[in-house]
Amino acid sequence: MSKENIHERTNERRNFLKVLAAAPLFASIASKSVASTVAATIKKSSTAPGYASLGIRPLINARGTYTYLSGSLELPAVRQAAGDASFQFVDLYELQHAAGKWLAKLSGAESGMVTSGAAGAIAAATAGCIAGTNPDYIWQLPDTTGLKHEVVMLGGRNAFDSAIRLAGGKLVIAPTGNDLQAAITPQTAMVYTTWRDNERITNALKITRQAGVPLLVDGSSAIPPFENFTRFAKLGVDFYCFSGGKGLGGPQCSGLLIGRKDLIDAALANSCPWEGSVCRAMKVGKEEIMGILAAVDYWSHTDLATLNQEWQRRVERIAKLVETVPGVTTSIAIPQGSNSYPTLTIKWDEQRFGLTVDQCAQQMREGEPRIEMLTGANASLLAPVRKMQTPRPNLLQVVSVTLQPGEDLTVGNRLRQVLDKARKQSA
Amino acid sequence: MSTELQISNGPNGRRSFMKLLAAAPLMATIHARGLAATVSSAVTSTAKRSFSDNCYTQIGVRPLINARGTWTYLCGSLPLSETRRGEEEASHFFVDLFELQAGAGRHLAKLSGAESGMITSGSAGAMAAAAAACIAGTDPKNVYQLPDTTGMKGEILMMGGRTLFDSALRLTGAKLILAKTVEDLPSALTSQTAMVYTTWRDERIEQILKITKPAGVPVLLDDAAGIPPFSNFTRYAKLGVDLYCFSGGKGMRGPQCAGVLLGRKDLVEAARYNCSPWEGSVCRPMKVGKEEIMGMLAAINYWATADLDALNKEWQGRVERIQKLVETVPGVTTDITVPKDGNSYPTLTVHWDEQKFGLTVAECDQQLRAGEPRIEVLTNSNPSGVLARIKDNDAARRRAERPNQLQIISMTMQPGEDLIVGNRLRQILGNARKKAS
Repeated sequence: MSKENIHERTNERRNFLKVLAAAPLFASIASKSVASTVAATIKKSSTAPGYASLGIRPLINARGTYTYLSGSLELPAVRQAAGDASFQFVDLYELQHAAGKWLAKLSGAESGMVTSGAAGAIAAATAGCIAGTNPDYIWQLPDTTGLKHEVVMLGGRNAFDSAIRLAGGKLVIAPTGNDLQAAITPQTAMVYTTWRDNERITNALKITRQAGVPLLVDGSSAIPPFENFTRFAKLGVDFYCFSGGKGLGGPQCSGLLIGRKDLIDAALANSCPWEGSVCRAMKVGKEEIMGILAAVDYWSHTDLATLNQEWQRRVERIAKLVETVPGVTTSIAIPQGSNSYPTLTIKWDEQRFGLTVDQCAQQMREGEPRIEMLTGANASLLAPVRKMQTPRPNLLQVVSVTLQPGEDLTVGNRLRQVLDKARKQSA
Repeated sequence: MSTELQISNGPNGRRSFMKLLAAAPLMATIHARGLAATVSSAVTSTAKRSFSDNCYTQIGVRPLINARGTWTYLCGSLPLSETRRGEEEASHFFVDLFELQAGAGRHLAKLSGAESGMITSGSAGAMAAAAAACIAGTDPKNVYQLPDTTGMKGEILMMGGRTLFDSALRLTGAKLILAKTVEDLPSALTSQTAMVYTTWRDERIEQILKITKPAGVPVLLDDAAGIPPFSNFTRYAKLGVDLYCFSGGKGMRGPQCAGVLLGRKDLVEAARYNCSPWEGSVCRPMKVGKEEIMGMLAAINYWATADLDALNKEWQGRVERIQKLVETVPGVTTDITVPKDGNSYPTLTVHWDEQKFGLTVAECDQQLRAGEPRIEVLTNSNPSGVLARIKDNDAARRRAERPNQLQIISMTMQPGEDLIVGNRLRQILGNARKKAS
């Protein structure tokens, strides 16, 4: 027996074991049938336009909490709270104030507010740092004549800095912590960063405190873990923000800004419902406010380890199914810092299979039901921003958190079929 | 009750007696039900809705009866049940928001007669999106460059002067140029004019279009509180207005943080290109989710077939009942009107001699607020106005300077709440009158 043959035999044996591992999954796929699984999740009961009547194809989201794919699906507790909130009128100033007190209690920070999202929080924070609570200045923004208006971008620019610029903020770049000191001037209104590790934040704070300049930590996709909700306050970060419609599972057009009372008060003074404030256009209703509080409440007593196990199992099932295709390998990892969910990476020899990552993603999209995968491409990124960023390797990945129960089998089975077909055709 | 109503003073007394007679069936209803029962029967829609125990009181916030109208700081309006259902159904599926906005645009075009449309974060969000579109267009470099308008047309012409919401235009980098009248328009147009903005809804809009069309400058008509009547949804398209917008959370009773922008396909496409979910667009913070989009469409669907006459009758009935109750207090007079330019709902104005009653409008307003359940009515005060903007704005200045009066807007009251409002107002005014006499 030649060396190659032995290799093949070993491969075959390995594949047989993989098929064996996937066997129970095949059984449940066959018994449910993909079509009925999907039909069960798509119900329609009113005469108002639904997705189908608008010509919109809903999708299985294996890509993660991208805004253009509508973030995450709301937690049941969020739907309930948003629904309950919709039956009564309240004064939004009072509601934001009460939300602030509630967020303070849970976070350990002095205060908080609900924004239209992380970008809305960044805009409100910037406007607050530039105009403060002076009505003349608030009305004057985004014209910053006579006002401190430089914002130091610690770590560089990003896709969302228009939220700073629209309030009149002038960007000053400090690529590393060592550049921070020199970047701060008498005109500095705020320092902004997306860094989330204790070490770099602590080092930055040493410099910003000395200079009397507030530091905003943008943690848009940093929950879960919920620990970050309190950690930044403990580190003494002046204020920090999260997106509500990503990992938190709150309303998509909601977010949180948490931190020092004086800074939150100033952010509120520059926000809706104030008529004449620069952030008036970034609306958030009572439903979104109560919805996001319900999401925070959920996370404050949720066992992340249990959720991680559930998420891990979803991608493990998909891994088992796709590994039945000879030549396909997988790995599961949890990214650190943000989007910290079990994430499956699927690799194959694109040349040998005659199938690129992009082609595979396209086939997944075109199939029924439609499946969106994570690749290096980002359909919602403006070209000039893309050029600014270091390109990501083009890998096919499955993010567990946005998959709904049962969808893992649909994704795994389809992916297996697409890869297997490509392998057979090119063999 | 009878002690409150001194009916012995000649012709006035007789008039008051007739008024009492008119209000008698309402008082009987109030007494029979008791106030508490009245409140809870107003709450047929959900068991969770009581003024003393609800999701808001749990965090120390007092809900209120809204007799003030669709003010944003008071949450606008309550969403229609159609809106709630639309949102709920939307929340169970992932969709691609680019596709959903395009699908919504086709649907809105069909209903409005305009070429296209989109759902925004509100009327202010629509203004920002429209301004960004007219300045940056669809060139990704320009889109990312905003609010820096270097190399682009960056002027926006404000017909009639500045408004309370023009920060929504300025945040895109726009420089405001004022044109007080239509006559000022031609000379105000320059090669740098990106857009003309107006809140005028009468014949002046056609006069504006006659000037802007040949100049090739798009007009945005901001009609935030223009629906109902739903006819405005189609009227501006017929007039050839390039872009127009409505607030979703006011008269339309869609989600509060939603609005509609309608108009020319090229301009709406450019507006979408400067909005969320585009990463790097200036309007990215003005988010609107699938729930708000579908909720808004459901509300529009409702209005497309709603019987406005029947609604107006219902609204009129609410303020007439209040009218009957407060007019039982001698010296109190009322009138009911329907404002013509926006907020077109039957509106009750309640007059009394503030000096003779020893009660100012502001004091009466405060007593209504302090009572249980809390009631908010319309007066001159606007707790949500940034003070500094008033000196830059004619309409706001006029409003602040005119004599204070107490008004009740019918539309935002919920069924049954009219009796609570009328009875409380009657008591406050009756007490003041007795104390002062």
